[in-house]
Amino acid sequence: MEKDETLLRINPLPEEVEELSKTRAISREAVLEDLAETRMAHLEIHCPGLSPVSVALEERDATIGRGPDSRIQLQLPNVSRMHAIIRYQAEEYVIEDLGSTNGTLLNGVRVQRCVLRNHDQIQIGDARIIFAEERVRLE
Amino acid sequence: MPPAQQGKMLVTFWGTRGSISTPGRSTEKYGGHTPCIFVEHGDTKIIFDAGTGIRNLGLHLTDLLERSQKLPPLHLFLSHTHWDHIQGLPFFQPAYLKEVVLTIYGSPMKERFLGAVLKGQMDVEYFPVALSALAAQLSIQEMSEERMELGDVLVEWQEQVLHPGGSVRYRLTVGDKRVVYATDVELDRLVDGSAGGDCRALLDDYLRFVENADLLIADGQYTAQEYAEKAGWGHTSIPVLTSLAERAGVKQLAVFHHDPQHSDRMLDSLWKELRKAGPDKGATQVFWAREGMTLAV
Repeated sequence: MEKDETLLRINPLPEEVEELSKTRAISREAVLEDLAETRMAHLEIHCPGLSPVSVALEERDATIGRGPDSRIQLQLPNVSRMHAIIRYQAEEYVIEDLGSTNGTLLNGVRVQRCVLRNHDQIQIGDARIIFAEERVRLE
Repeated sequence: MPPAQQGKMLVTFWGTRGSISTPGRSTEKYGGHTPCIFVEHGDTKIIFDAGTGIRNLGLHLTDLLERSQKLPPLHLFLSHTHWDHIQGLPFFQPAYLKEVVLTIYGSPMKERFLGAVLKGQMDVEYFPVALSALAAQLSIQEMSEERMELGDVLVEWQEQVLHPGGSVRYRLTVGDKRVVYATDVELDRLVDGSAGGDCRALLDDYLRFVENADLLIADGQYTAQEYAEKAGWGHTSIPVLTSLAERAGVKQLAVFHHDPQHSDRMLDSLWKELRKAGPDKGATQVFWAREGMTLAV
């Protein structure tokens, strides 16, 4: 007997089929509303000796550093006071080094700036940060 | 610019893909636009190649112009005039602005004058706007001297013969820092001796040119397996490129001109293999050039 590879089977009851088959007038606006999506991104921050922490980026700029002015404060060795910033621009997240002493590494490469992609690994001082994003439908 | 980056060359990849643009989700990490690199050193603004990536660079520069009301002269150096290196030029917005000064440089070794080639791709059969209709203060120069100074940047170039129709490599020097752009060349044929002629001398020329580069941006379009089927197509295999970069004492190698068939997943796997084969074995740091990445050299 062949292995059943079905992922999903929808099989409504007969009285529901009639209701489903009725033509519905769908406005263009309603369709576009359904299509609109955005990118939800978060950082997963791994610091030595601590449990990983997740922080949502919320389509806003986020500064990262040791100092109190940073939105994401990492009071760790080798992190500068204002180390880097993650900007939200043109519907993308871009990391930029702010002239830090030890640099901002992206997947092991020291960068001045770079557009972020899913699962990129950022190294800031002793912190390892994973960028993750997903596309979600706008409500 | 943050103070720590002042005096450095900022190198931004606007297009990293070889041969043809490859938009789509499978290439969004490393990029789908064809070659275009922007190098800034103060007011010296240098562009390498005008592949489709130059369109987004143009939007960025236009935005800068609108915000600051000035844009320093732009110097566009072409490696050669194959489609993937010039096709974005008609969509380069600064070329349509009368306040922009744009100089385009290329090899003097071609049968047709560089201006005629660029004019050809904007012929009415191919594009609605003629080259002569561009509003920018445009000049097209076939390079004569093998070096020129643009601000504090020394620009040097050399012909590369191992690409159909030829190509040019460039080296930028500021103080003791060097950035080399050497794409569209088949180094495998120099290494295995199949190019004929004086392979040894050509290889020595190459090694001297890229020697001790802080950043080498170079054509590594094929894996070794792919190269076996594509010998003579004018591109280098990744293992040959990495070993020559190592030999020449290159500090950082950005493998560039990604094959259109190389998805992000494949490039990530290749990188993993490379790391497994010898993680940080040599002095050269190897990585894949990626659209939207800026490095400070």
